Amino acid sequence: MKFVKQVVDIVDENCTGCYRCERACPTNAITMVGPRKKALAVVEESACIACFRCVDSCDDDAITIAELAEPRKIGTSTKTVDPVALNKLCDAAGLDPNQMACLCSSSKVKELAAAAINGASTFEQLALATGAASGCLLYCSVPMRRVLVAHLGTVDESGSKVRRYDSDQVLLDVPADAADAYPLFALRREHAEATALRNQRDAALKEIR
Amino acid sequence: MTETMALHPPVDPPEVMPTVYGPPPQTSRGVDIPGLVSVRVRDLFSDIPSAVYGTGGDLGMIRAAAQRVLAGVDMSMIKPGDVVNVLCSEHGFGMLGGHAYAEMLETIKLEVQRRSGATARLVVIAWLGAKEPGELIEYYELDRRFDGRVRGVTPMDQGIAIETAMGTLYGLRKVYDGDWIVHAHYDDPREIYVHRAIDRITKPFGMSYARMETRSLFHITMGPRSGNFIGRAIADSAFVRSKLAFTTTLVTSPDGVLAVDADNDLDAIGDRMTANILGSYGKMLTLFRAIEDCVVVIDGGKWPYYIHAGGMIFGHLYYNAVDWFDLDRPDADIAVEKAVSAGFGTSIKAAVLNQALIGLNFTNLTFMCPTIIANPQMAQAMRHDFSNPFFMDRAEVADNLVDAVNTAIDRGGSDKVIVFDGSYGALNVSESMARHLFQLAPECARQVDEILLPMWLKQRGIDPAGVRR
Repeated sequence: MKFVKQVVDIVDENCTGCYRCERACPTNAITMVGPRKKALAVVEESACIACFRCVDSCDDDAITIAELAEPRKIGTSTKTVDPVALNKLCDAAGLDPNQMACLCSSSKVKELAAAAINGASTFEQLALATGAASGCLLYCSVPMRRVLVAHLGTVDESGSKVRRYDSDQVLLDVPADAADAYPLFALRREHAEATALRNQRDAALKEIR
Repeated sequence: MTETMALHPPVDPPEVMPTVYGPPPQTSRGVDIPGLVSVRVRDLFSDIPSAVYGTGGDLGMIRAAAQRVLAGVDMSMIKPGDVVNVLCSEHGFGMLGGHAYAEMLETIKLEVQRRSGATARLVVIAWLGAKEPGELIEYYELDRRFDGRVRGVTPMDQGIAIETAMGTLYGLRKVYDGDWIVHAHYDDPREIYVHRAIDRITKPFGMSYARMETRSLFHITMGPRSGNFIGRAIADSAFVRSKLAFTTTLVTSPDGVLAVDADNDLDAIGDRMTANILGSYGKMLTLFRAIEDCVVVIDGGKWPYYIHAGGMIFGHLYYNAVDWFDLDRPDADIAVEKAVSAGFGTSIKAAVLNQALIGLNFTNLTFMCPTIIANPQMAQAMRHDFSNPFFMDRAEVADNLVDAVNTAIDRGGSDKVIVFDGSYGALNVSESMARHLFQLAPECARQVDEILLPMWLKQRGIDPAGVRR
């Protein structure tokens, strides 16, 4: 969940049509319009989640930040979906529903799951529905992928312009022989704790059902 | 051993590098707060290893130390005409103003080229934004130092698949596209609350040298200790082992740079690094854990957590509730961010933000204590901080630094001021804080000498004889 307080604005006369902002935007809010070598960036204001990646990527001072008169709230309430389905999806994703998925937007895994159940089927739609991917990007990419894959089986990235890679391992994916080969990392112990936590969640899920 | 209380004039901190990721360098710095004194870390603990280089010192010491240690490194695998990627991380430039790190990097280039006839190319890896590597390259004249063979990389750049013991992970293509790599590291303990001093040497393989998705694994899907396996898994992959020529590090204590270390054996240099971190930083960490109450002033050129005071980062004080070096202490949670959150200390009663980079989430500071921003430029930067969208909902803005500090003292109910301004060797503090530190130090020293250091070393299988004194 995030309150978007600013949007970006394109200074047409400075835009050189380099496409870098389009490739940086996590919600496809920016599209290049016009013939390939003369295209200019255009912003769809309602899809901007104020991550300012485009501003950062621009070397031509062609993108400015404008304050919104009223902040725009983006987010998905977990109350909008069936709690059993929500917990089942988090479980399938191998993630704790209450784990923070994006610190910058304060979005938990369960908010991503609720958004996916409500129809968000791409990274861009998930970002737009929750505010995830609007900040540092250090946390959110893997939980976003895991929730989408758990819900849909695969993620359609054909409409994405942002470069992404598919590693999304969790602790329980680390093989036992690796755990034994590197005892300093407490992999066995943390495996056991993660398994116990998952079993607790499964038991709670059965009770809800 | 702890000496009698000696107060000195405040020490000048390193200058702040201009950047688009923060406010302009402020003319009013923490060191200018009226009534401050400085406390030398070696006056607190006389067995903290003494530095050969401190901020603004003679860089010739670094060059000589690097040349000396590189003379013992085997470079025979590097052939004339090969390309050697010298890998550096932005965080090395966050230590002592960054010039020692830059000097070590240049010396690596000179030695590699002189001895092998290869071409050394610097890879500057930054985290936050597209412009950050360029800023570092310009400020530290890395283009000149490397004869134009410098490239900047960020975690959003093209990746390269690396097969590891935990499956496919992704490094950055520009990191690994040379014939060889040199891992040019530093031993600043930094976020001990995450790495726990168990494999500090391999951390960059899972962070600085990795794609954003792999960094996300570290922060989200692994446990408090197992997350550190990511860096080790990549470092031990056949791919990385086929590329890694050797490793160098800046060896430091809270006093400054002690030496340069280098080795072809990653594990051997890693063991030495761990021993030095525990031995050189353990007492200051224990001292930070004992601080009862304080007002912090954040005033440097990095993200708040990573700005130093007496060689210790702000994160060490912020997460001071537990002994992170103790590997037998049960973690609070299997989720790493919850485990780390359990370390939030209660000693910070108010915070002043004068100068820092934006982009790293630290909004929780405003929930934990009154937070006062000391100037309009910093406030304006925070308003556009995409990682802290709620920060300004809770922070106050003062007209100037002195007003901000006075407000913080008033709201926090403590006059024990400590300034995180990038300094090594000494802490700029109020007199009351100086007295507090000197009162606490003897018992901290006793605990570390008699109980904690032997325990930390034993937990990691390290011979106490290997600890630098």
